[in-house]
Amino acid sequence: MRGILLLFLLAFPLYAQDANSPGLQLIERLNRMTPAERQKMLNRMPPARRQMLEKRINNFNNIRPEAREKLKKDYEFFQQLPPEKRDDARRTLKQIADLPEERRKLVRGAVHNLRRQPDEIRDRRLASRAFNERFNEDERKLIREALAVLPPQAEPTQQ
Amino acid sequence: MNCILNTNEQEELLLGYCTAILDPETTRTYKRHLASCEHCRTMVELQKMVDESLGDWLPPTLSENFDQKLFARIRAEQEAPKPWWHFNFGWKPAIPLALAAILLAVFLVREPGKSELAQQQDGIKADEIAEVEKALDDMEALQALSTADTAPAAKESI
Repeated sequence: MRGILLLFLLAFPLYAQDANSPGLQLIERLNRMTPAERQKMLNRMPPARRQMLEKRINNFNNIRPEAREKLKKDYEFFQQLPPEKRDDARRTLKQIADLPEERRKLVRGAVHNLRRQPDEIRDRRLASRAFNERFNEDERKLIREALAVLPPQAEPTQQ
Repeated sequence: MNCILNTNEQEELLLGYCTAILDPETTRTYKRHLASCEHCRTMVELQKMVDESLGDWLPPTLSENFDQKLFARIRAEQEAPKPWWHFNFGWKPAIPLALAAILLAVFLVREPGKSELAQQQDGIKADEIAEVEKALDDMEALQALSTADTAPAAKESI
């Protein structure tokens, strides 16, 4: 009886993970195929859209393996958020992407760096005068919202 | 003396008296009681009738080779192959069977419907394409934050 329970416990997260990331699962399935098989699989798509999709999949595949693994983890974390929070997060990320280039780089850089900090240091930085002076109210809100939808990174790196 | 039919020892006394195995003193006492108790006299007579009937009964005669035949039949039944439902497997073999059934169920739930090859023949469905594009949108947006350290401004941002 205990064995059966254990098997369920082991099998369920696998199922749940796949069920939460069908898009990622499909990308991985396309990656396992030969070019001919992939061609057959995508043959119903309009050519321009298919080319774009293939280009984006190739870009994803060209990410360094360790960075890709990190990205997958971020994505799986993101996928586990409730749907309404996920939509909020998409809006936040879109708003960051729509910032003027200079401001966008600064905001993304801040999110990137703050994610690596332990909670206590991160909170102190978010409350600091430097942070308030460097970013306007909207940007500060975007940074806070982005930090809420991303898993913290385990190992803080040397700055 | 109270009637023995009202005591706990009634059966032993009655049978003992009828088969003459009681000690002399108890036999005498019981005889005295019988003289005054009609109920017990009736019971003794009935018991004697039963004993006499059993004495008259003769068991059926067995054939000479009855034992041989009996043991031969027992041996034949023991040696004959049993149908599978007569085997006693116990409950332990049920565990791997149950686990295998669960694994199969999990596999079927994970891959419902058609096989990967069959899906490949049909091509990717429109909703699946949308799923892939949505996943790529999300991952590209997340990646933009993860790769911010490559941007020169990132390190000085905070």
